[in-house]
Amino acid sequence: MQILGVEVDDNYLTTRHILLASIAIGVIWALALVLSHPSLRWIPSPVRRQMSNTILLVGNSQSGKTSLFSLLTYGKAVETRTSMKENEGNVILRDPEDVRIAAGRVHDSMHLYLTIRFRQQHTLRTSAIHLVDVPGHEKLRFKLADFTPIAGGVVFIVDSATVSRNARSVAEHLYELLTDKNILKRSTEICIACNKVDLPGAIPLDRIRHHLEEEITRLRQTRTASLEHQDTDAEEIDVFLGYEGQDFSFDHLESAVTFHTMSVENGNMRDVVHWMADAL
Amino acid sequence: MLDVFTILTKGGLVLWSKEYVSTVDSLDYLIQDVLIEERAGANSYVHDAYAFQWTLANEHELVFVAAYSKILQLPYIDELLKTTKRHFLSKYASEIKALGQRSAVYDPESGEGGLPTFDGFEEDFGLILAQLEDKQSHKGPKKPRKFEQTKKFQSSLQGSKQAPSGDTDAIDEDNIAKNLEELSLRRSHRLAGKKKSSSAKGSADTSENDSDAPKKKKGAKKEARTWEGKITKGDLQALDYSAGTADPDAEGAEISRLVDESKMGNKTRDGFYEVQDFDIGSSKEEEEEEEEEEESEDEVRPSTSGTSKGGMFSFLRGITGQRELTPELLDPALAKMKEHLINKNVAADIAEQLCASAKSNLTGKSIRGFKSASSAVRDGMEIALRRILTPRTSTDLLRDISQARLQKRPYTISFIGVNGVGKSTNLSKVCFWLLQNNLKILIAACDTFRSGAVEQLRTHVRSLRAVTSQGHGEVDLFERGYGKDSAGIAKDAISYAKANRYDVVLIDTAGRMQDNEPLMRALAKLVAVNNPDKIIFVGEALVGNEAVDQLTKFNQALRDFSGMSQPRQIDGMILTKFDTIDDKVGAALSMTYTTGKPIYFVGTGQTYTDLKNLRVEHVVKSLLRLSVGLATKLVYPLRPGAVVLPLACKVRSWQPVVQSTPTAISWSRSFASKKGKEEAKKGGKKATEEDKTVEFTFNVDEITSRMSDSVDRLKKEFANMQIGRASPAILDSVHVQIGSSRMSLRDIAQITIKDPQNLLVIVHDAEYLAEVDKAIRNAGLNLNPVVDGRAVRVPIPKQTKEFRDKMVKAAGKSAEASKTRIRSIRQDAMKDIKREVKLGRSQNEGSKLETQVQALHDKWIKQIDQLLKAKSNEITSL
Ligand SMILES: Nc1nc2c(ncn2[C@@H]2O[C@H](COP(=O)(O)OP(=O)(O)OP(=O)(O)O)[C@@H](O)[C@H]2O)c(=O)[nH]1
Ligand SMILES: [Mg+2]
Repeated sequence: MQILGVEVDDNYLTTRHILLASIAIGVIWALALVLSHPSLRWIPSPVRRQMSNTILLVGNSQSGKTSLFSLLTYGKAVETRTSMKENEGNVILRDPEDVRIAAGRVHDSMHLYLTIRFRQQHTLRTSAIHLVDVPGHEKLRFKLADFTPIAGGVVFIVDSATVSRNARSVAEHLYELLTDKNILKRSTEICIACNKVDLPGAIPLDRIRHHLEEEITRLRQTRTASLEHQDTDAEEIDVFLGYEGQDFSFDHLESAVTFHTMSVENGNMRDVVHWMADAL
Repeated sequence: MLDVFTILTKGGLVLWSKEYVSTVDSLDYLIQDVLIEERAGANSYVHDAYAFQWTLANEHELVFVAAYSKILQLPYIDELLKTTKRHFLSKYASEIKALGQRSAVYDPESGEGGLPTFDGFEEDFGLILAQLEDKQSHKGPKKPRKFEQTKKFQSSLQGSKQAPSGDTDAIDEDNIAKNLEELSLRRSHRLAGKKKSSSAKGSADTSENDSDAPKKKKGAKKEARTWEGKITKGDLQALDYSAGTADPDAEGAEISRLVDESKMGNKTRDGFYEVQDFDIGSSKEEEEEEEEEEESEDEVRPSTSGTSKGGMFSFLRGITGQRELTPELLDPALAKMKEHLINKNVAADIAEQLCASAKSNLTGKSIRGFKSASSAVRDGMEIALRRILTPRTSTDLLRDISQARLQKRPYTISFIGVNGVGKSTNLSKVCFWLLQNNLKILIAACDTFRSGAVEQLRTHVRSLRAVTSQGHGEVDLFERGYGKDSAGIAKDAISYAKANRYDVVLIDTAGRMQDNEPLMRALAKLVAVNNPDKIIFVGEALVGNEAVDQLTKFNQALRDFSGMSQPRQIDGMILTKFDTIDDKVGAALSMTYTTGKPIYFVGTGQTYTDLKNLRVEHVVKSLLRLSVGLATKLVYPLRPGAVVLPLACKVRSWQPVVQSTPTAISWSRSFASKKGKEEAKKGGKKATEEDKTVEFTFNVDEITSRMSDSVDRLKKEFANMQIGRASPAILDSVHVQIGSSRMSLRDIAQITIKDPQNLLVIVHDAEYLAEVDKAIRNAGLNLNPVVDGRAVRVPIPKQTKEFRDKMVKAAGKSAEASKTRIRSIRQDAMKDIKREVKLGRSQNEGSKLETQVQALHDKWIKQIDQLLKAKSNEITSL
């Protein structure tokens, strides 16, 4: 092989470069390992949280995560289908104008899209946040655990129109989130966004809260009484949400839990966006 | 006619869609039933009135879907998908690339970084479609497509692909391309500069600059995430090692006699679960080894391709850039993976389907320099396995029961399955757990077929009462003797339970073979009449291919014989004898893949507390772990003094039976096979290095060594399946605690066969006699050694006929598994040979190799038969 006109032995070059590259990679890995080491847990969690600029969108399938993601990331709520993978994007949080349907719709060949306008001069945060839309399908939920270690806040989206019917499955998903090792450890802030309030069947926020608390009270009991897993490790089994002997309330959690209403359809998501900006 | 054509991202954003008929929300079903369930290896899917076909563009994470009425036959769909995909990807190359790169931030003012619009695509698509339809109509009518073909996910495509002859195809392709070119020319005239330049630039972009900066960025980001994932894994490990500090709760003496406390509920972990430590330790080692193997593979590949393209560029790309996963790169890795899965006892056609799905999900993806195809396959498979094993519905039975309680009705669970898998036993274990939760339970004895079944339950109920005397739980038996209609008994039991405020009814049914029609009809009736809340299939973790057959036929019977418009199906499974399968956990995968239903519990031993929830990670890890030969045996030992369940139905009056059967068949280390493999590999590699021109790596020696490996394994298994015959191999697994160190018995003593019923362990240092005695006694092997001077005599207990029969059956199963392995090695070898012949190896040579492989196959199969025969004789004749 010739480099700069000098004949170089092929093999020599190959091994050397591989060596160099692997050393470089090794160093990066070592650094990564050191930074992630459990002994660094002494860093108080608020500080650690501040280091994160990631917000997760979590919730059952069809609750509107991808719609919100698309609206925030691309300024446009396109048609969606069940997500097979997570969506990730970087977003500058701006104060959204409370657009009404007519104002926000644009016609695009054959589809109607909702586009959102922002108050340009009013950015809520100067730097971009990292937004992750975690798929809600049951079989893909295990992905959640990949992202909770880096989450600075979680928006748990609920479909207000179907939640009374689906209270149990929504609560199960939420329970999974609340008992996640990293959420517990870091007391990650959570916003429960009651979406689709534009629909006639939507129930008010305090009733959603009540439904979920009731369900979690039950779940808490059955989950702690369930059989242990094969080779269980100690951490997972001792989780008990809230106070023993008292019905579950979101106020009992270490993580601050806030409820907000939202309608992606109407572009009404101001509260949730403000929450995101404040959480980080 | 085509109804819908949609282009969407895997994240769920619809980029472009053309709907000739509105509706089709069934697209979501396609995603949920096929793409998420890892059945993407198939190429069509029918839901309601629609048939779907799709193609993936993995490198950009896009999905192209076409839907049409299922009664139509549209053979051009495949071509339509491919052509559209190609055209879309090249026309919008830069837009798609921007979409994939996550660094961009949307700026509402300039509109930059937003979601690109693909409006212009409609015209192009119309043109492609029109031409294909046109071409089709010239070909004349075809036979109507068989509906079953699509329904069973079979390829209707193959037919359509073969139909047009190569020539016309090429012309059509050209035609389409030409027309599209014209179209874009026309448009660019119309639309002045801007659009034209962007699209032209776009197409130039993709073809060459694959390793561009933005993509690299994407790669780096991904890495960061897995890194984050690793933290949690690290944490987990740290915790594992420190586990076991929890304080054991002192319970009543009665319970401790009957229940193996350490396994109870969430109480303690006293290092009992050897599994875990081994698990992590060994898998780590193996991963490293595997990595090495992969890297060496990698080094070979770029260097061969490097010579053709030459120079620094391709070399650098090999390191830092990305390579695309082509079918050629993937196939060997997938073949390996398939064999690996089969070795783990995954049913053969499921392994096949999974690999097909992995192929369709990976083809076209780019991998970074150091990653090899096989590690990409491994990573892809890991995600696929997790998806399959993760339940889609809640498995929280207690929550279901509390719901039923609110409705003031008993919750009913029926246990079904073939004979002898442990239905009643596991029903009792479930009952025990429910009793711990203070529920009132009625067991309905609906096995009115097998004599002794009712008595067995009576015994269980008595012992269950004994162990729960402290709690508030209650259990009763509802029995009506033998020979009666089981559906009626279940019905009576349920009404009785309702009247008397029971919380749960557990229905025990007769075991039945899946092909026994009368019994299957009876089962379907029982289900139809009583509509239980849960139908739980109890199956053995040992089964391989059989698992699929059992489940399919049970479901089939429930469907065909129920006489209902919406028949019930199996809701979930319990896997029994999970403690005896080492890491060959394939049945867990086969069963969930076949039914799409969760595994509620696994049975891990012989006490009431040996019922666990399946841990998905555990199964995934076990499935992907390298060879069984390397993994040290995973045995859940029976603790001394632990009470064995009254398993045999003959037990009339219940007495604690202390360990009357060996607890587990264990496999021990086999280093020999490992070495063999390494040598074979070295040989193979040398060959490729020497003659770089011809790259035929097929090596008969390797096949021989792989086949003999798997027969070796069978021999090992047989050796451990001892019955009443003294064999030193029995004591292989015994370790002796001396002071603070744990030593293998073989290292401190000599083991000899005194006579067929006795082993003699001569301890080198007489001081350790007592320790050795204790170690053998407590090894969970059901042995009662006798100290005899300087030696320890180990009498081998005689076994019952029943036990022998079981042993013969187990031997048969092992032999069958071994044959399956041989067959799949043969099959793969044949495929490899065919491929090499296609690549230019001489036909003659090829057929010679084929004969050789066939001969090897026959030889080993014959040897397995002989081994089995000898083993069976040995077991029965003693
Ligand atoms: N009426 C109404 N519909 C909404 C609203 N937000 C989202 N939707 C609709 O809900 C459906 C599902 O939205 P997605 O965003 O795809 O749901 P998802 O949460 O991403 O679902 P998965 O990807 O399956 O987890 C879409 O058809 C949206 O149009 C809302 O505020 N009001
Ligand atoms: Mg989504």
